[in-house]
Amino acid sequence: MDDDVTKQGGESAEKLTRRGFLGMAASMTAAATATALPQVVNAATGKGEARDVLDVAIIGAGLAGLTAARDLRRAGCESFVVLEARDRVGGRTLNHDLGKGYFSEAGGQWIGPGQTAVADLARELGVGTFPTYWQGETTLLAAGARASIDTGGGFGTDPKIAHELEKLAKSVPSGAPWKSPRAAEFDSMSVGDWLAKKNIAPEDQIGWSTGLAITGGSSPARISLLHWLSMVNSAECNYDRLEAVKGGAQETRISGGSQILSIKMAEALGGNVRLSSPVLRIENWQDGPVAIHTPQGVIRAHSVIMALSPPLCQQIAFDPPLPERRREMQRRWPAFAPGRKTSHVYKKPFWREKGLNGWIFQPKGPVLWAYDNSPEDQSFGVINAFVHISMLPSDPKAAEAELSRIYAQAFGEEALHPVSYHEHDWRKADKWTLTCVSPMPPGFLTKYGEALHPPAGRLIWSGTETADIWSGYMDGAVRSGHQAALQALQAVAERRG
Amino acid sequence: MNVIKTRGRSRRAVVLGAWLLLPAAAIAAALYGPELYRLIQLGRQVDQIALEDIRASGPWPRTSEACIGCHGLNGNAQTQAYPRLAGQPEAYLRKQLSAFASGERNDPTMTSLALSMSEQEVDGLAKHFSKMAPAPNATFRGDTALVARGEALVKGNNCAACHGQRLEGREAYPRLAGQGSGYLRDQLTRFKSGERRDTGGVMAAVTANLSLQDIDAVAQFLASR
Repeated sequence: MDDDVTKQGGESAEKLTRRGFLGMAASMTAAATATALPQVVNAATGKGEARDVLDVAIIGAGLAGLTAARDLRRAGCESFVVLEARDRVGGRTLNHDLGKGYFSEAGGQWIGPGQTAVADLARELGVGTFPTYWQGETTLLAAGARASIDTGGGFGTDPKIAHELEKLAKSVPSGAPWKSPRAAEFDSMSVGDWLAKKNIAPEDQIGWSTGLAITGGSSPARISLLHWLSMVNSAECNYDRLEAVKGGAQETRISGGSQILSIKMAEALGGNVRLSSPVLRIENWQDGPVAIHTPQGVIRAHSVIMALSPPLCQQIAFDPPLPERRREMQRRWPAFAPGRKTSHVYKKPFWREKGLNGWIFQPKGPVLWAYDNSPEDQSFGVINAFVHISMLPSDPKAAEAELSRIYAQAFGEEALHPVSYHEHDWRKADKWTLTCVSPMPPGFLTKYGEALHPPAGRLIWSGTETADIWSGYMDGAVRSGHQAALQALQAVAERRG
Repeated sequence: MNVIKTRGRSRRAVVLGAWLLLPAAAIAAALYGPELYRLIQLGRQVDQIALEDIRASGPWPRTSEACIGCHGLNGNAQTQAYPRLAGQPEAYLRKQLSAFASGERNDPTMTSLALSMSEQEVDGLAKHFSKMAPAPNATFRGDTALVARGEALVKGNNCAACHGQRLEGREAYPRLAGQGSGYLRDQLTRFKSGERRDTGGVMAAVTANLSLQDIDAVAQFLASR
């Protein structure tokens, strides 16, 4: 077990549930405990009475799992539980608390045009949104040189090549790229192989490598063209909509930080959400009732919503083993795009007065992309950055200082003195997030894609990776949660038939 | 490619798609004076970086770019938690990638990555990183007493017999000098617990006699080399 997973006896499950909501504990209703539910059954035997079997167990209290739980409740189903390994909700969304009610994000954070599922969720939860700041000049740093230029809220990919990709993407369905009539052809090459035929000038190669690293999670040589086209297709075959801030998937931010969505949903679900309950083993998933083993005991349910990424499913033992195709898909799923994200907090977004937008691109340095992540009312100035994990020291103090020097080169001396610094290296923070996005290598989707969606017995697969639209994004997570809830409710209806 | 579009009143450079902002393009966007000079300088630097990359790591697109995130520039990670690949023996690198793919060695990141690579890619990466010059582990800050204790343990266990006189690694035995302290600690702990195994079980035998504090000392000494 990881250090952060507190092993607790069953009796303290209520305490854990309430404690973990990142300071929201006070607002939680004390009555909303798990006591109303059929409880954990005998841990030794895994046996229990029929009445102890829940309609649905949901594994994972990220956006997908909590959306599914919320839908179940809205449909009148109360017989469910959400099991979360960590002592917090939100999965790959995580807020850094900046104090005074302000937050900066360590994980997924944006909403863009067409991402209607997550936008609707925010509205329903009464969570506000505001535009990501992009106005002003972007700073480019290379070795000792510095220049700044207005990039119009975009990353400025060559529009001619982008347009070619947009055309090709029309035939690649975002939710099932392997069904494209040209799937075999597109999946036989990497984006890099395809770009290599376009005679990209050496200096532009750096741009493509940076762009794909930020949006796709790996290098052009390692990302399948088919996968990339499916992402462009998600963005309605509009390259800017995928990549840009203005008019793109990074356009809108969430007041209170993106994790607030999960925190609010979990608050409303109360004791149905159990934190620090990593699932170790799942038995009898074929015919049910399914026995779900956690350190706190065994939970039994007729249906299970697996709201976690395919590679993370590998950490659960299945008895009997999952179908071979599914198993192989999970084993090979590209879990190799972990991220390290940093936040520098300043008294004010001082760069704005200088006509700068707070963005930095650095072709050979730790900063992949730095951007202004200040609160809407500018109570603080915040520079967030996607960094190359290992181009900065492990020690946060040393990393902070090195980044401050880079920011000073870009924005001036004021940048040397942040008020505070936060960072999160997702790969090392705990073992419950393996990867940010999934950079599909050539050959994967056509060989294993078919194994992604079909339920295995009583197991319903959810999580952003399974979404038909905006897979890999917060929006995809919400969509996948709605979808899984429908499947689970259908199973409930059939049983009651 | 190096396009600067003029849309309305604002200048908009094609940034990522065109790092090199040529003077001509800059002039087209009506830049002048110091701003123009800065763009020219930046363009030159970017150009130089791109050409250096091609010289050092071969034609683009490069598989090795996928390794930069965790393993650092040219395999010289600045963190202590992720392994430094620069100067690791080619045979060792190849063996580890195949061990990840076969399941002999396990890591959620590396297993799926190794499984996704062709033999050619594995071969290319092993060759590439073995040729990179290992830089000193400059970000490591050790505890003097622990480093000294670690040195005695490394000598006492005769690590040099396999790993080389200067712990520089050879054939299937990894370079240990200057390796990340956190990574070394993890791996030694895994050898001790049996989670990681080596052919012949030498590492299991060595680590069986090391306490967790010993392991920390050994890791600190090796990282400081």
